[in-house]
Amino acid sequence: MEQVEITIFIILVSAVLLIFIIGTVVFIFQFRERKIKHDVEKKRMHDQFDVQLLHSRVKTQEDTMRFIGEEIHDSVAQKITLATIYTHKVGMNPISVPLQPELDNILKVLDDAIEELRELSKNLTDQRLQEADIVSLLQTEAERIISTGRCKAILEVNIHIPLKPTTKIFLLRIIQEFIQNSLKHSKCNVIKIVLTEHSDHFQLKIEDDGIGFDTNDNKNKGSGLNNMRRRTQMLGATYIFDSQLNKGTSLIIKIEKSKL
Amino acid sequence: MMKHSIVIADDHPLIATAIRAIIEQFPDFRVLYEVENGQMLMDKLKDGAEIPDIVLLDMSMPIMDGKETAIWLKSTYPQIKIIANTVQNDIKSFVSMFEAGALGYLTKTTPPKELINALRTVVQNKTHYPEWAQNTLQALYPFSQVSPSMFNEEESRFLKFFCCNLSQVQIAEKMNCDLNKVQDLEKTLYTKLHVNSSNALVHFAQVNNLIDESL
Repeated sequence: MEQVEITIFIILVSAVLLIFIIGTVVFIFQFRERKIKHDVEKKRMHDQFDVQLLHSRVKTQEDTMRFIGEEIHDSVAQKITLATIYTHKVGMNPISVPLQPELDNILKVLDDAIEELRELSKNLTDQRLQEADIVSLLQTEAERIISTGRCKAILEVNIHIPLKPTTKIFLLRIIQEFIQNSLKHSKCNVIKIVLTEHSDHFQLKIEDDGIGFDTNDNKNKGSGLNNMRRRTQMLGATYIFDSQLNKGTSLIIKIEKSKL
Repeated sequence: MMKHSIVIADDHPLIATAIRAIIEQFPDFRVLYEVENGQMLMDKLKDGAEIPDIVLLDMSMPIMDGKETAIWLKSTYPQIKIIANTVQNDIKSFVSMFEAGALGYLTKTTPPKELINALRTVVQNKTHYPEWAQNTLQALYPFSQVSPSMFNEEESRFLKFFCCNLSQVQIAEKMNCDLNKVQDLEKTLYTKLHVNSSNALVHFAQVNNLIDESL
């Protein structure tokens, strides 16, 4: 009888042990499988993130390169081309025509070209431009206006817009162009920059109270205005430019939130 | 003296004005007006503005660029001579303007002497391209398998009229034949020379001295 009981006991223990061992093996096997799967998934996500990051870096770089290219073509190259044509013209003049006024004209164009080139290289190397947000960049512009001593600056900005670096740089360029024109030509007392948020868009308005000009007159359509319009178009934003004689000049840019 | 008329198309008004000032120093040319892009030129011509003999055409302009404008001009006013006047001094830009029908190709910083040279050349229905572009044309259009002797008398006459920038209707009148015949002749020449642009025909005529200045 005892013999039988012992045999049953041994069989039972063996069965339990066997089940336990099989269970452990299955568990370890499944765990490993899951871990491998998890690792693969993790690596895939990591790779994907890297690719995205690379994409956006390349995109930013491409945008910046395009911006530099446009900037050189629109401003510096045009000015130097103009200086060359003026110089050719001087060479054609009869001896009796006084040289000085035409030379002054050429020097002025070259000065502008150098100024624009300097501005461009400064902006390229300016780390701050990459990092600072649009509000603090606008504050710097306002301070710069005041430091010229020619007119006052009013800045009304109390919101933060999450802008892509390229959008930020483009907006800043447009504003700088406007300010440069106002300071140079408008004889204004105040330049006002207002940034407001609306339900579906952000609006940037910049205006001066200067002498204004006739927007239909061809001689006023310099490359500066073209640049501002072209850049706004590249941002996919709406461009509303207006100038009235003796009242002032204003520019409104509307960026839809969906395009941010 | 008959002054040849010019229109300047350039999106930078200061540059257009400066070029105008140079051209006005030449006794045999006058500038009619300036436009900022091809669309403005199109509108002006459609409104009945004077049709120029020559258009000095910038390449990169907003709304309607130089290439588009040249193609439109060629199809609408074949008698207008087009000179590309650009800052782009590369093979690709040259070929695109050549194929669009520009008889001349200049850079904006060209000295006045060369500018007047180019103007006086194109009014004679001849081409004026930079030195380096000759190699490009040679490579693009070697014409090694073809010679003027491959044309019959009718085709030769057609080519002469064609190179005077006459329209198809005008050529038909001169040759006393109907419009279909003229179109067939043009196609035949394209096929025989293995080319696809009107300027390539002009180029062939020029390298083989087939252009009749008296026409």
